[in-house]
Amino acid sequence: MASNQASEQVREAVSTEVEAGLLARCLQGDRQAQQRLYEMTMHLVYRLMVRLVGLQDAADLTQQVYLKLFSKLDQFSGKSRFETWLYRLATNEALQFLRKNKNRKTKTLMGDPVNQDQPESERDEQRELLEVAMERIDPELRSIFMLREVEKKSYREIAEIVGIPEGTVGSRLTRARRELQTHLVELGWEGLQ
Amino acid sequence: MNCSQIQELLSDYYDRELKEDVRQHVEAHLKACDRCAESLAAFESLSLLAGKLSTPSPPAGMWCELEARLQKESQGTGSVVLLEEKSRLPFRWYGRYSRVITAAVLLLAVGIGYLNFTGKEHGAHHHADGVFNQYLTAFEKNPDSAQQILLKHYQYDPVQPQQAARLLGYQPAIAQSVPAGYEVQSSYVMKMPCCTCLQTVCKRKDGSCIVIFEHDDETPEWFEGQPKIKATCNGEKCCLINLDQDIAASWQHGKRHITVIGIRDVNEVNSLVAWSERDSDKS
Repeated sequence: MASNQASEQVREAVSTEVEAGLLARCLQGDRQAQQRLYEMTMHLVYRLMVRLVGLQDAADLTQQVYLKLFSKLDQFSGKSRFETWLYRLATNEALQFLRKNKNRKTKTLMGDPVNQDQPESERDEQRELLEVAMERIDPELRSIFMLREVEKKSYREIAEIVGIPEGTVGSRLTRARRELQTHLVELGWEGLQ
Repeated sequence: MNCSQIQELLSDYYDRELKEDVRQHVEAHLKACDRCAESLAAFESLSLLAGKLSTPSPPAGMWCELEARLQKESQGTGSVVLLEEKSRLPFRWYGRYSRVITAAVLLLAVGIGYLNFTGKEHGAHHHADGVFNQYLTAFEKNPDSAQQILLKHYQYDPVQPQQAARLLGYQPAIAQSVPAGYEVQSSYVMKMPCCTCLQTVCKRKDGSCIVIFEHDDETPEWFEGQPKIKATCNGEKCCLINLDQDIAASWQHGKRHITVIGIRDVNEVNSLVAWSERDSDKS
């Protein structure tokens, strides 16, 4: 929930600054403006990358996204929100990377900070099970699941980001959820009802 | 609606994406059908589990590296020489990540071998005795003990930074001013195999320390075997080295070089570069 609130704050801040001409300055190659845009949004991209491609490649791919972003910024028409466009770049980059590296294993996030009310061993175990289950499903389904469950995107936004009809988002999510449940049960997760 | 139709709409219902009239149909079915209600409950359990996924902190040095890549792209061949593709690593993770990344860095270093910094010849500036490596390893655990390693192996003169000029032949940066937020704990003119340098231990307010070396030549052999990242920090070209717990940074300062060990993140590198470029005599 905290990350959702933070995302909302970022969204508002980005919208305000985009309106204030931040993107135009970035287009002109203003390095300070580029740094500002990067600092405002990079944690969103990085978080998505960690979940989609794994910890070991997340930083590098996040940088790739921003290299593309700054080189393609003139293609941003403003029809969709800037944040949605950024997510689309990031998701495409991640999916392309995964297609090229089909046999590659992602690395789970051992050691992430989480809710401190829960015993650490239990937190790690639960988290690892979901991370392993997520690795086992199709990357596109994983991205849709992440965009919904972690990034709290609407179906319309998910459709724009992933490039699928809005009407198919629900069915893909259902498939992602069922496959994840199946893998979690196989892995010994007892929390599913 | 039958169960099959409801199952198709279950995500839409759960995510509140259904139109109100369809939603009411699904709701009515769920009240009467245990199987479909269980499917919905499973979605809720999965959401709870997804909520436990943490938000990782991005590595602190990413902008420096990205800026160097942007600069390289904008300049074609570019004046900033980046290391080869495999060496571009997430730089400096906070807390528990640092060990994971350092392990990855070390593994990569074994894989791709020693990565040359700039291709310059460094002649006899080798610390083949491994003293500096011992120092770096010890520094991570206990900076005071590490200092004793250097003092044991190299000739030195304890000095006040302001008095070092008579031994060095130049006024060192630390004699001009101390970086904000630190205080000088000790300072030595030290005769190392590569050169005679000024080594200053500076304490942070929390008692931890950084060590500033001002020296005549570059320092690749000080960090032999460690992958290095070239980046622009506060407008200056820097060489960053990921150590176990901390990072080291080295940059040209006029005719000489400054190397700092024990830095926590790239923001701290930026502030130290700013300090050296703002206040000191580069002559």
